[in-house]
Amino acid sequence: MMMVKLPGYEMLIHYLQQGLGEKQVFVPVSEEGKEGHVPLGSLNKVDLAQMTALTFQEKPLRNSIKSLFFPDTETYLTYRKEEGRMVMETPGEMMSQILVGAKACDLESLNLIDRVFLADPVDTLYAEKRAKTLILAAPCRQQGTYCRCESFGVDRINPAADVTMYQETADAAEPLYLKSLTPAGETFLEEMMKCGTEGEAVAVTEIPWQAVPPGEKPLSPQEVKDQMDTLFEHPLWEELAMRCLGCATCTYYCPTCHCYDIRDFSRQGQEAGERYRTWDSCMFTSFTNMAGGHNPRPHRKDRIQNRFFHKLNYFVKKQGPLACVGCGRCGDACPVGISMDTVLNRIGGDRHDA
Amino acid sequence: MQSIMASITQSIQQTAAALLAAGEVDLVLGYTRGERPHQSVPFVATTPAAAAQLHWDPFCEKALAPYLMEESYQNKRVAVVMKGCDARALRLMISESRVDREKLVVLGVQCQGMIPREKLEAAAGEPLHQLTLTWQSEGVELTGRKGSQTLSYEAVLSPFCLTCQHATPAVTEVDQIIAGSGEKALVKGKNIPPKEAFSDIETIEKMGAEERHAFWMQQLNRCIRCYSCRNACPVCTCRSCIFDRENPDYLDAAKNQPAQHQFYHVIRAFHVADRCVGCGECARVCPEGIPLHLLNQKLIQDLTQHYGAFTPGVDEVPNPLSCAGAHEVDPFGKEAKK
Amino acid sequence: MTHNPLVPINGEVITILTESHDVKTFQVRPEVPMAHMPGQCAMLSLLGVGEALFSITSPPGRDYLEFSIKRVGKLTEALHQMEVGHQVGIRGPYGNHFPVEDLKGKRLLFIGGGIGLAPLRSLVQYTLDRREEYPDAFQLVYGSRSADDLLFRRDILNQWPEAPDFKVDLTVDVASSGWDGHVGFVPAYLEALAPSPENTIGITCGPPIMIKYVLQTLEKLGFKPNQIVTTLEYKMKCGVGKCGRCNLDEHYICKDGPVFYLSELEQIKCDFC
Repeated sequence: MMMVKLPGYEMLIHYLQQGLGEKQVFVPVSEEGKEGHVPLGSLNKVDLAQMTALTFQEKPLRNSIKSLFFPDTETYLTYRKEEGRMVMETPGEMMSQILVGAKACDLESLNLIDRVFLADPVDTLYAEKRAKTLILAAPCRQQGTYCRCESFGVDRINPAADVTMYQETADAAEPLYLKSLTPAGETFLEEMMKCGTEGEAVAVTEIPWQAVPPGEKPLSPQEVKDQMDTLFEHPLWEELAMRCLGCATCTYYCPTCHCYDIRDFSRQGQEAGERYRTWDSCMFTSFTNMAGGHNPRPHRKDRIQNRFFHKLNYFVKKQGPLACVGCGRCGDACPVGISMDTVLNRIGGDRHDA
Repeated sequence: MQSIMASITQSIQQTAAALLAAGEVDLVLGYTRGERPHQSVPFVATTPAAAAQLHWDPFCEKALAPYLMEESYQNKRVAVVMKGCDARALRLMISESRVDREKLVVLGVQCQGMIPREKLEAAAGEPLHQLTLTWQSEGVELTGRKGSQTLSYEAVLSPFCLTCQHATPAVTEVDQIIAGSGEKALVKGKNIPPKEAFSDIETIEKMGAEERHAFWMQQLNRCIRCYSCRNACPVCTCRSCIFDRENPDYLDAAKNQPAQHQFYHVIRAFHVADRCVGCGECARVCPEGIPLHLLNQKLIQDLTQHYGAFTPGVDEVPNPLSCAGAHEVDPFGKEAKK
Repeated sequence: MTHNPLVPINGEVITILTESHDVKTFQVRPEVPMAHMPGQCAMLSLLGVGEALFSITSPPGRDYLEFSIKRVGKLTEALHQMEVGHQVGIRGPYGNHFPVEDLKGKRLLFIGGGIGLAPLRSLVQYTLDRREEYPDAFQLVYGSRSADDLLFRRDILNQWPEAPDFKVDLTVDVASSGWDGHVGFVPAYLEALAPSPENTIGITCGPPIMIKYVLQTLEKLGFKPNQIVTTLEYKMKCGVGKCGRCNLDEHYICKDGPVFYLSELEQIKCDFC
């Protein structure tokens, strides 16, 4: 483990800017109502105060980090006809990337997606991005107002990243402490210091940072699963269906939702085109509607029920953990205020009694 | 102000409970308090007891008219709480044979205007969960950790409500008006001309073609095609939306194709151009904060200029650009909505 | 990096048989041979049009795979336009397969409806190819909308009835001139035929509504849930248990299915059965 102290956030950004030719760097930015990680190279101006505030805020960014590993649209095959034969090409290797300012819940959501995408047969598109991304994460001092990470067993104080970032208060001018957690993280810090980045190695005990310890007992996945089993025929699902708009907001902002569609694109009359995958949503009728007209989930009730059962029951049975990290994004983004709590409140449990 | 919100709430609860107890309706669609602070969400009461959960305040933004077309509301006698904009949408739906007015009990609310939560939080300078609100005649009094302050309603009301001329549904359109009692202070500031409330339009009009194109590209490219704008829109009432059709699929599913986003939003804006009731739902629900309403507000201004003033859902059809009558063939009639 | 499982290989269409007005059978030879078992599926695609999962109709051990495809949508329409020599993208095979080990020494009752005979045909051929392991009686109850919609006529009218101890019972939903066989829905015909459950496994595939009633009928006839096998068809995109749309409870039909015993389905939160 290695620990360094930089005079400020600026030194980290300065170092990352130097390496932009070889690596893609993503930093937290809030612009025009959109909050998420954007390429450092695309910024006209680096707003260090905003970046610091977003990195150390006690909630994740509105847009989850899943799009850096599982982009909303990703072409994996291009093709053209040559001398009567179809020639297919797959994209070349990607550039390594560095992600700055993830949260513990973000990391946990990747662990959940790993269980699906890295299982046999390995999703190579996702696996490559996982292998080639170095993640710098910041802990949350306390649980955010609308966060439920503690209930979902996420250790917000110790994000499972390559490097953890600390600051006493979220002020760009304050010293920034970086602690490596993996060999890749250690290499990153070593190289940064070798490049003459202003800063010094320090002992871990020197971090002037203290977290509020978790105050909530994690939910038991098995118990939640069992309680959901008793709710399969519950009127709750029709009740939610009468309120849900059937849009894809919850699924697209959810850091653990990973359903996708596969589509082809070609311009008319051209014997060339591409095949891509793109985010899809179980809230859409078209998700399960078959070409012949049969739909196993024809009603909105079926779809909303399936979504919550997938998170709180099916995933537990197949993978072990709950498929929710308690980030609160669904409740933030839903136009009619449906969140994971809406269902958990019905199940009961520690803090979730309605 | 406290009294009018409370009295409207009480009146809705009593009316709903009576309708349900008498068996005149199967359900009452209105609002209840959401999980977040100062949030109201759609709510369906099916028993007189549940009617006590119905609620009214300036956070009841969600348009309720679109629900009336959903499967869960079919073959039921429904009472629905409606603001002026919602009732205008309902009138369009009736003229287009989307809903059967006979099966509805419309409870028109004397709407005081809606307050967007983000606008309130920004104006307050403090997170919503720390704030207690008191409706005063001169404005809303906010009490938070930083002390108390009173913000004028002009400062916090939605621009749609500041320009609204039909806040309370017309008596002829509803079965009952729920007026409440007490001061109606929020109405006071409501004669702001649209040009002022939507000053962005003028700013955009003044841009050169290239700059304007760049502006809309930047805005529309944020779209993630969640379809919340369409699904929330009270006048997007096609039973089968062209963008849901799979064969042929008119819209490519790729989310990194600017042309596809433009195609979707421009077609949608034009499709509702002379039917938009200015409820602001499209902009409110967009999770990416795309100012979709600007397209519609601009179209409304242009239509007024070219065809004279026409208020959809208030003036008699035909609308300036389009209309659909009950006698017309609905080629998609058999297909389910969304 | 290993191979991306979503990328297909090329296959050549070597034969096309017209089965009915809306069903054609395509023999496809993949450029790299694919070994499959009866009941498994493969993704077929036309670049620029799309991709979908189809049951493999042919038995293992051929240098081609057969797919019987009903024209119902955009992709299947385009597939029907293909000619011999054309190329299709192919990947797979996917999913589990019929429990061929469990079927040994059992009487086999195949119940199919319409295009649902496609996956069953692979199993019928497979077991016929190994009759020494499956020496007991075979029975097929098969129905379609009309006589013109009966598929695999060479099999159901000639080859299979001529095989030793193989009874073929056909029915159509709607009578027409030239059809002197049984008229009626498959579940009702099955009930009338009343095959004995003794030492028998019933294997069914067809339209969802037919499957639902066939399962009920078999139980009525005394078949136990572990004597009934069905194969399900949902919309599928990835074929490898990741894209999420074909879930049935915690199972992904493309990977954990499509073949299930009724005894397994009874443990599952099931949308249509």
